[in-house]
Amino acid sequence: MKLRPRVARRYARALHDQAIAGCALSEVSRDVEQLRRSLAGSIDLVSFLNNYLLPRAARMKVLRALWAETLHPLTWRFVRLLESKRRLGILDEIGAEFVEFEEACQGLVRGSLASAYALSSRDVGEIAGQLGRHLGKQVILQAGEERGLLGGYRLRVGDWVYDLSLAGRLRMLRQTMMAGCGPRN
Amino acid sequence: MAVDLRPEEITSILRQQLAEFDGKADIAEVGTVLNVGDGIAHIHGLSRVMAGELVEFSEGLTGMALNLEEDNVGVAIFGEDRTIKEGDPVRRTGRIASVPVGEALAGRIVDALGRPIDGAGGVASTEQRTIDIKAPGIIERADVREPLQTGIKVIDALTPIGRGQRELIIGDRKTGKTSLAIDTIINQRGKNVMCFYVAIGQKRSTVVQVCETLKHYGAMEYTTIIAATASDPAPMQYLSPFAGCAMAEFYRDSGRHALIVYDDLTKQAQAYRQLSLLLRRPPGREAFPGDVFYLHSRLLERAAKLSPEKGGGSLTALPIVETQANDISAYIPTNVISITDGQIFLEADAFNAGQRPAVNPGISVSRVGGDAQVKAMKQTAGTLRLDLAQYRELAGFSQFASDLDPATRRQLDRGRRLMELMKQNIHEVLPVALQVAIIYAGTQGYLDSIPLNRIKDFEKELAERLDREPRDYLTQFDRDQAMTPDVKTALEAVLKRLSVTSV
Repeated sequence: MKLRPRVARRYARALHDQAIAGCALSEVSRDVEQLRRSLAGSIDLVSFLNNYLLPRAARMKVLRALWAETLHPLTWRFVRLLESKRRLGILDEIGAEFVEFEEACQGLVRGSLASAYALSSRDVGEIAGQLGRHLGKQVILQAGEERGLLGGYRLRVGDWVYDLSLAGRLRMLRQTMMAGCGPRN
Repeated sequence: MAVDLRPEEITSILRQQLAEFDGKADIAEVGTVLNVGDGIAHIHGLSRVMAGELVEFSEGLTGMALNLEEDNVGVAIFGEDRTIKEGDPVRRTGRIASVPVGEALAGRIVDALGRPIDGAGGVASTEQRTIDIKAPGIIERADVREPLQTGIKVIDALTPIGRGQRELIIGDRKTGKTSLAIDTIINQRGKNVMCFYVAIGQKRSTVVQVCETLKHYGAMEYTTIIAATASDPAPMQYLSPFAGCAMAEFYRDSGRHALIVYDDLTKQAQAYRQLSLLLRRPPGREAFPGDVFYLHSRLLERAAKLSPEKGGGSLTALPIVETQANDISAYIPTNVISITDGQIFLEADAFNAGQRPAVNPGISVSRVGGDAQVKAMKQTAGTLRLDLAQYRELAGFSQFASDLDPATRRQLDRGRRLMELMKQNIHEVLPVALQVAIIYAGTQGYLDSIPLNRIKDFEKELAERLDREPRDYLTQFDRDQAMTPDVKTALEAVLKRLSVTSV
């Protein structure tokens, strides 16, 4: 696991604030998504953005050809700022932070749902709805299978884990019984 | 402790536990291990974790959150970190590190988390205490007035220690620092003082040796050893003095008396330096972190004499610090000297010259112990420090002098005898009445006619006579605890008879 650079959060926050101030949040959000798709789809683009050995003028020429016409003026200005600060290498991380921040502003949280056996999309939706009511937010769950849970399911939203699995209950029972055994070596 | 249970009883207990078990959802705040190594793990997540909170790794290992940063938490791991992998989940426990306390710990050897390591079964303790708590405030304290006898002449006479005091034992390696502390523990037998010996970064064989010595002298029954040896991870070495202190505070806060020895704080500071550097805290002087002073001051501030309203209990601390080549101006020694209420300075030269305990009376001081000194000792040893200081000065000067006047020679002879008198064999602690008698003999000139090599015999003979002959002196001393004319007369009678036969 790799941590995103702290600076990514600051740039993402600044872009978000400017987008709101300029009433261009939806356009900028669309641009960010597009940029992230481009980065995910092209290793060459990632290599290019990280390569500061190229002359600045040559880099700017490529960037202009790529994005000057397609991006919203605010996003394009942001890209040029990153280029001048030699920070285009973390464009993807900034994009991820931007999306997370935007989702948080909209009251949206993402989480994972692990169950011993695959759940129907209706069940997943129901669990997400219940969790959403509990948290007061809209929850988007990514479901997955984990046979080790034996039965039931386990939810993870942010740092919080709600373990309603059979394996989790057996672990709790074990801890309760061990604690009842008195002092241990 | 083995408990006999019949199979049907076990079944019944299990059935009851199962019936009472409520299958609620297990809700926990969980983080993820980013990296791990050298006893330190960095965790992503755990955004609500408290400083000093215990966290639990998937293998059941615990750790303590020390660094709370914007995007990760630095955790000191209590145990072997080999089983922890990158990406492992880490759970918050909501608990601050605590250890078991109480009478059940007496006679046991435990680790920094209070887990027994002496193979004698579990510790049947019912109470837990947070290891890092705030020291008692000003209102809760009282003056240090009661003596804590070490049983060592040179200490009880020149640098007396009071209950609730912090007295530093400082010196190079192999100068008798640990022996001094062990003798003090041995001397607490029958004095209602519970003792705690915290071994930090020492060899396991040394800990066994200390335990055996204490057992041999019957001191282990009122002593607990908290061991974080050299092979234990740095977090355990960092934590062990705090754990020991929490155990000792149990007695202080219940109106009783406790003594704690930290052997030694240099190693604790080194463990803390290792932790801090791995946690990427900025290094300062000698690469120690900036808060190493606070580390020791907050630990030693917990030694206190409480006011009668708070039960009047006390916790006396004897921290040990090891110096390199007698350099007391290094970072840790100066820090601890400034925190404590005095220091006993041990010298390698004196030790090698056979002066044992190798206390340097010139620079050893006790800032508050004077008020706690037994009156008889105060009256007897009042001039001793001055006499010894004059002797040291004259002895140095006389090296160059070819001819000395009779007065100077007399002073030198008296000084030599007093120095000889200050010698004491290891683990041979003396009751205060005998100490006073011996020092009285020295300062009043009863030894002037006795050859230097017979001073030890004189001491032995004096102890035997005081015990054997009509016990006027001992009886009166126990009653008055001061050098009243009656006590003096009784003692002088014995000394006169003895000096005649000893010449």
